[in-house]
Amino acid sequence: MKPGNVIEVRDLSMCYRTFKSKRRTLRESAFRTLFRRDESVEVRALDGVTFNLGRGDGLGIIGNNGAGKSTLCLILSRIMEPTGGVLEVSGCVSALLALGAGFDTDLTGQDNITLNAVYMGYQLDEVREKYDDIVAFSGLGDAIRMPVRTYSSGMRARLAFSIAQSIQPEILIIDELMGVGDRSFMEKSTARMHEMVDQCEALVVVSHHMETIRSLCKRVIWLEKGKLIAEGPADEVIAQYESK
Amino acid sequence: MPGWGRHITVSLLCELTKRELLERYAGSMLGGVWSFLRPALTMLVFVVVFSNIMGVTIPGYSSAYSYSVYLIAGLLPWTAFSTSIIRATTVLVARRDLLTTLPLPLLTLPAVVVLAESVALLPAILLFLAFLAVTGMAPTYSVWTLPVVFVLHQLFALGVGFLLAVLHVFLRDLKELTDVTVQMWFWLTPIAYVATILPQEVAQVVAFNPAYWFVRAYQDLFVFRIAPSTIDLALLAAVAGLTLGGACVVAKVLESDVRDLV
Repeated sequence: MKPGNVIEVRDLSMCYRTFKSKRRTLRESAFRTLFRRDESVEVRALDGVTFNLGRGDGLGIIGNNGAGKSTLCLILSRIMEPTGGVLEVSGCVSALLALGAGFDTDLTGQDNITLNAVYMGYQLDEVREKYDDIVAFSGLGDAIRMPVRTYSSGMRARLAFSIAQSIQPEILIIDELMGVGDRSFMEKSTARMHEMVDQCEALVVVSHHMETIRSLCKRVIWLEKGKLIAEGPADEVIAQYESK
Repeated sequence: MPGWGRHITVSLLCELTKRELLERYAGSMLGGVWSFLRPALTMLVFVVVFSNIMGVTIPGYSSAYSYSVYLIAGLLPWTAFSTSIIRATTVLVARRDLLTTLPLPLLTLPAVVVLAESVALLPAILLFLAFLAVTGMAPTYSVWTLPVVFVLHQLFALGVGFLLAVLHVFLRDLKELTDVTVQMWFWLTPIAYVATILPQEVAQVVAFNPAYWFVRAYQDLFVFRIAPSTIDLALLAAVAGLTLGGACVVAKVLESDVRDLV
């Protein structure tokens, strides 16, 4: 990795294989092997994508629905493994995506804070340190002692965001810079997101709001059907995208 | 510093294992007491049936409890071993929600299953040691090798379980196949019977059964009160290490497909 870079992506591809039937049994496997009839359909979500992200940079990702933007975020945050290419990341990554992943709805809000925090790489004593801040940020009050299954979807989102915002990462990955919850929490969480953006060393933002991208990112990549269409200074690439 | 990336932390393993164990007795009136009560009752049944009613003994060992001790010595660790494998096999598919939304290493979930089963066995082992002490058959200083054998045994279970869990993503029949195979494996391992009753040909096969190498170490410890030799321990370590290492290599190769197809 070149010094000064925090993310290097070379020739990255992601190929989903969707099977016509989800169940894969011995009979099916034998059938496929014997008769060489693969019943799978391949979907190329990313195809030979290459870019770098330097320290102190903001990178915007734009493109229509199904362009592969979210897949790229999932790969950058190591939730998914690319089927081809090289990905190098140096530094602590935090992704504000799939909020509330791994919630166990039978557990209380309190227990889910601990559980979610260890999933994100916290040590147990770090969780205890941050615990009060997380509860205070969520503003859930006594509801924090109730099982999460009794929460409304807004309350779940508030809890999830409160946990996620407790990490100040070096590399921040955001899929749409939008707050969650009711109006007052929406304002609070959007403000906090901007604060995190200000404090991180490198940023990756997916957004359909070109204004957001312009204000946060110097460089932009434009994806279409998994392919990199254009890469360069924000204004240029956005102009190309909008005039298409 | 916390952050997303695929690594297993001690905190993660502890918290998930704790959750798993708490869930086990959640809602029951006696809760954790069951973890002592259940093995205690099982052992009581064995002792009453085999020693007091049937009066079975094993050759070369004079105590009235000899067969019960022999049986329990092999059966307790076998239960942890086989349950670990059977439950680990399906865990990646069962918790696909976690694998597709969190940057969790594949090994985490099978490791938690094996850890939980290992911890769950501790009360039973303590009770068994207490029983041996009361009946004057306490293992000698050789008992220090027990934790070593047990850890290696469970690492072996993790290796087998992890490998099966990864393959189960591609081949869902493995759930049933594992259930049945583990049952057969039990009878190919001298746990309920002594190895000397086996016909020559079968004995030759059983001699190559790695599960028996582990079980024999427990039987030596509890029944014959001798510590396994350093060579034996090295052999067990090699079995555990190679299996787990092999499973990790297979998982690494198949990882992107596992995450895609799970």
